[in-house]
Amino acid sequence: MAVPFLAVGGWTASLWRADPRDMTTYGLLSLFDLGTYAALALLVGGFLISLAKNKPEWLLALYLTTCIGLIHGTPAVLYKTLRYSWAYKHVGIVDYIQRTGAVDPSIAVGSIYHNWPAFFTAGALLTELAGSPDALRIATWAPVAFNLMNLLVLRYVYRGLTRNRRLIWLGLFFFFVINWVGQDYFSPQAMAYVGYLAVVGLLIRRSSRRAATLVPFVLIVAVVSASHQITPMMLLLAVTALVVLRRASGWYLPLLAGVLVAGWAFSAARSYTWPNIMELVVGLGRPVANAGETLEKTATIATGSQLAVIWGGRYVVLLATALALLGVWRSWRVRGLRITAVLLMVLPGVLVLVTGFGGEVLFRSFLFAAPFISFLAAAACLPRDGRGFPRRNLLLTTVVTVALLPGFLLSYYGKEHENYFTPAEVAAVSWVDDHARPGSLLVEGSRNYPTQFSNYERFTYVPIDREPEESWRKLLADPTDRLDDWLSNPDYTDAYVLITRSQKIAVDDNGSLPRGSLQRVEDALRASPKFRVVDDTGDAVVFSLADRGG
Amino acid sequence: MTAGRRLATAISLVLAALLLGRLSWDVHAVRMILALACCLVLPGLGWSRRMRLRDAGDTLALAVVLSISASVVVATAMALAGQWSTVWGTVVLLAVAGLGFVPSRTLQRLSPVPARSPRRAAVAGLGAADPDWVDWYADARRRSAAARARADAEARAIETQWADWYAREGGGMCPEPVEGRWSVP
Repeated sequence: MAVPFLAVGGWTASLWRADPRDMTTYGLLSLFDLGTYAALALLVGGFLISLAKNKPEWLLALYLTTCIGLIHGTPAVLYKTLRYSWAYKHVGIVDYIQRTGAVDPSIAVGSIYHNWPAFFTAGALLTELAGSPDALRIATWAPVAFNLMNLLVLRYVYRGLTRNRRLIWLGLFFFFVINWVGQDYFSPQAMAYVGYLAVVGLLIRRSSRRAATLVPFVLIVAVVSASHQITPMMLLLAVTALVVLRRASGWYLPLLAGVLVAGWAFSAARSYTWPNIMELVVGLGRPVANAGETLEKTATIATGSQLAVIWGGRYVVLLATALALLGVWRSWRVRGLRITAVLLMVLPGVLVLVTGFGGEVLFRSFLFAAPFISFLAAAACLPRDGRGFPRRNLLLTTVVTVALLPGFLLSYYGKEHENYFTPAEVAAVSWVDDHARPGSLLVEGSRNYPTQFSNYERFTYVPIDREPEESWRKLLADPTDRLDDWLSNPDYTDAYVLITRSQKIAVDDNGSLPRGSLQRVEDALRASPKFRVVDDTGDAVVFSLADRGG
Repeated sequence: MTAGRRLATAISLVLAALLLGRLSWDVHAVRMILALACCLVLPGLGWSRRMRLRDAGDTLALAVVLSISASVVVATAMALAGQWSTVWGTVVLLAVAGLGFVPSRTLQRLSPVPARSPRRAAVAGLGAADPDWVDWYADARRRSAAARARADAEARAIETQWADWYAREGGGMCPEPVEGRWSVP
């Protein structure tokens, strides 16, 4: 039992003096030293040995909880700010609800969040109950919270598939080793994912009390339908497949789920669904194109470290899936195909037939398949008869873990160089949010910064790196004249240009603009008499026109 | 749940509410923890226990999911109606939490929809005295064992009748049945 605490001590000691500003293109991994890896090895080794020795579940839970705390809690402690620009956007929606007490489905910016507001309304209620002025603190610790929920709910799911304790806990362990997708941040997807797992867990168990299944089923499906777009699709697929293949009883369940999902989409979310329904229809039956959207996003990456990060994730997917298929084959040879687990592993692939989801569908498919890939991979590592944990199986499991961990660490931590925002950047954005009047223009270097987390609806946002190539080339050729034109537009009450450290890193790493572009733009604006610096925190600078108030 | 445990649970909820009230103005971190409990654990805990999952981890898992669901429903309803009130939202969540611990029979008495028969009430899960959420595998085994026992008894009964028929009808055409000759081994 002392091992987890020793591991925490070792991990903390090794990262005590780490400065996130020193991260390289290998992200948080560049701050790891031998002590960090030793702590991780101690934790992983202790868990596997405890599993082999059939130690009590509370001890296994302590190991996994410690793993979750270290892996997902380290950025929260080390950075002292929230990571991921998308998380800040979600905080901004919560801020809107806190200020107005309502949602606005017809709002111009972020309308999709107002049409599926369930996560944000709950976040607003929690934030107000906690007495916080904003959801930043809650959002910072959200990855730890959501992963702990995943641990609880996934154990519930696995206990519906088997009562073999070793299989359950090894499956849980593998899940946290292969799940690099990073959808555990403060987001509707994270909450909807917990709901998806809970519904699967409910259905694969048989109860003689229909109310014990039906009432929670309706409630959770309704909540998922109101909180996210792709998870209800996956839920509907899973419910239908489980009922049709008689892995769950209740012929009416798919109909009920369909009514709830469609009901929300075409009623409360109609102002978003109807105008965008053609995009969904066009995406139907185009798996190659839908998958290609995800792969295209990575096509512009050139540097070795970035390729290592991308291929680290792909390698984990391939290895884990191969192991899962081995588990399927072994199960079939001995006990019969684990049809439910195989079905739920394969089914998320259908999502690729339905939508590209803005270039994210492959990641989301893997996310939904991961629990069952882990379960079947664990089955591959345990003895065929399900009894005991002989040394050769322990050795195999150790080898598999050692093979998977580097890929996981690379893909989960490898982009932290871009995802980390300094307190000074957050302060600069706060200044703009607090001083700008409604109807303002904000020209951003890129979207990779602590964006839109306060009074977000006051602005029209123009990221330079998302402009058409012709437009940004003209801007880079003569930044002062071009930006003077934009900021002089009388349609806007105030107008600002915001350039931050993290924007420069993202643009240079992703190649969305020529290397060093944003620094050149900043230098040009500083030197120009047409612009003045209204706020400079060292890591971020805010410009406005010299002859304009703000 | 025994009366003693119900009383202890009710007292715990009241104390928890008082503690929340007392501490909410003082200690931010404690308030955060209590807010998390109020939104993520308490509303669903009683309802999850009512499902009698026989495993603390499973019960806690469903408690969390049901609590999140309850928080979402309450908060979304307020936001869509434009009637946001943190106080009323909290009151509703605590009411949901409290109702989860109310005994089934009491809920049934308070329910406007009467159970038409004890069997219907049992199926609906209200008022059932015995836990009938069972491990499905153990349940299947028990049913199969009971069916086997019935079949064995029927087989033994048939053997006895067969022997009696021979004794009654066979006369000299058939050998006298030897006791145990037709017995199932």
